[in-house]
Amino acid sequence: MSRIIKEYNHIRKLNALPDNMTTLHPVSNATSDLSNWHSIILGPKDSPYHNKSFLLEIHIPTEYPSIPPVIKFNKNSIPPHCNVNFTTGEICLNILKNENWSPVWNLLYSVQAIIQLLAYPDPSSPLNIDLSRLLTLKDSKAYNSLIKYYLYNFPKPELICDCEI
Amino acid sequence: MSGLLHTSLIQRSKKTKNKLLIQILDSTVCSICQDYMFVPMVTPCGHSFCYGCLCSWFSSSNVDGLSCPHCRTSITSAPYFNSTLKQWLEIFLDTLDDNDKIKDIFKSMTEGKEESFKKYQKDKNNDQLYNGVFSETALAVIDEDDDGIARCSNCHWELDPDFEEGGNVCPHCNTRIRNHVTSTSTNVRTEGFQSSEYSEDELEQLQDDITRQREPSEDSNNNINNGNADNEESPNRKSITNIFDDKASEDDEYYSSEIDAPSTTKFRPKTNKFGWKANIYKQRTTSYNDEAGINDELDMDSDLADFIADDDEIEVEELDDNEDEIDGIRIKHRTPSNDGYEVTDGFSDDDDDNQETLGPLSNKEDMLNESESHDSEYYERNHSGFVSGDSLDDSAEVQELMKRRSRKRIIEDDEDDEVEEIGSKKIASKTTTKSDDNQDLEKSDSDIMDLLDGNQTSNNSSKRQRRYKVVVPDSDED
Repeated sequence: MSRIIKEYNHIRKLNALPDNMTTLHPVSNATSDLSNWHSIILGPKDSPYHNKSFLLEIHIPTEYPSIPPVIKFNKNSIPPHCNVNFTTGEICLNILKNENWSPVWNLLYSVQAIIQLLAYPDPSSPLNIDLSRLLTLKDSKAYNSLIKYYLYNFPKPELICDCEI
Repeated sequence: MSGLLHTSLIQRSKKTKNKLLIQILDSTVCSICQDYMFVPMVTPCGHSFCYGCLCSWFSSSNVDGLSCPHCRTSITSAPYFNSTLKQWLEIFLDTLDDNDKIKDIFKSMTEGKEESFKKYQKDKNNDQLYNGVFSETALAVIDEDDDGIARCSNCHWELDPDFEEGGNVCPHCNTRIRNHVTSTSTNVRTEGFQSSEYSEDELEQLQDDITRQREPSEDSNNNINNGNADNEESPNRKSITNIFDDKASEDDEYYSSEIDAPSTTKFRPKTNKFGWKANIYKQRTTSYNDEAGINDELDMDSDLADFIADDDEIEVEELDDNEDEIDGIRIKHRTPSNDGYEVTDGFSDDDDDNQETLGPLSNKEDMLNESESHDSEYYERNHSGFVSGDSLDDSAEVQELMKRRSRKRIIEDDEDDEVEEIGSKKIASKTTTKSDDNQDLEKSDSDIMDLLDGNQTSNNSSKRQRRYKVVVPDSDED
């Protein structure tokens, strides 16, 4: 667990978080508990998620960094995405799997990877079959339109910040 | 020690120097624990980590084998101690240690780190580095120049191609295999086994052989099939037949060169051996590739025809004799080979046969070159070398084996008939030529040849009897 303390200190000292990352901080205010984190990310530019924000729930297991952190979307802000389970918020990302995780990577890196995933969906290991179908058929227009349709009534970033944290 | 870098560094501003120093200090930080490395270990790919961090990484590492945490390169040899990084850190510590205020903090920090260094030295002395993950495990190695098969680096035992599923353990020495290799040549062989290259019957036969091969217990497999485990894969059939093809071409060359041989005495034993080889080859090809076998037979026929047209009666006669003997030898020889075939794999056995045939051949060639005056005793010995009655005693066992392989036998028996037909034809041609070219016999070595003939016929009769001993029960079934 000593490693996550160092990461916490490092994140606190950062002048600015990376692009499209609004916040990244532990859930509880007490610095003693660093096992659960929250992060708000923005949909990257040139993606159908642009101008929308999503809340990530991060759990740091005790074996971290030998095993990857558990990251999923908050139930109230699950983006329609081919690698995201639309009901549970589970994320299918290879580097967050045990066999592909490397202890060299940290929390900041993992959240950045999820932002990347929003822009570059991988239809080969889908959790949302309908969307992955559209991708495999290379119908990006339908894919983007469908996502925008789903996201039309999506809560505003400010609202997420207020009610969830 | 005053290079260009040294001089330019001194001239630089304080800010740049600080930046450089920070970067150097950063390089002494382990990227896993984000702490200074007191026991830096450098991986074969050049990345340094704490000893403790690598230990926990290797022990928690997945079944996919050990990999570098940084670049994911497969790590096959244990990371070494990086003394340079250790020196840098010590220089920093020694230089910054003069401040009384932070001395205590330094002390507590270094004390904990001393412990980890002691642990490393203890592990090193006990040859238990990284919890023995390297000293107690083996590698899967492939020698592409040899056979291209993944083998255990500890005992050189052949690894199961699917050993990833079998828990990554060597089947022989039970050592854990810590890396993953895909046997490239096995893949090639798999590709090489294409159903389009075989007729339906052949495919059926192949399938039969494969299933039969997998039936026997592992023990017998190991006992008889040392180092031939690769034959468990059907695609090898192809490569083996290729080997035979090569052999066949060698045989052909050998044969044609022998036709020109001037002395009949010299010629005799060689054709004998050749005939044997040719027949074995024929037998093999019919087992695996009917077409090839037929082609070969045709080749042989034309060769024989050349013989009859060009050469005198004695040679033809001898060839006939050989042909008969060959049959005898072949049957006899096939029996133990079948024996092995049942338990392990016919191809490996054929390999052995091949060596057997090649072994004595080269020896006798030398002997023949030494002198031409071999008497009848020599040939008698020669034959007895080839045919040993012992193997015929267990004909009951052979019979049972044959029963199980009855379908294959039918094909081979057809082959037998063909050979016998050829033999009888030759005998017929022999009798006609004998009357015509009797005078040709009046040569300097005709006496020797007469002697030979006498011995030959007696030998032949006994061999024919032996042959029928084996063949008769077989034909009864059919």
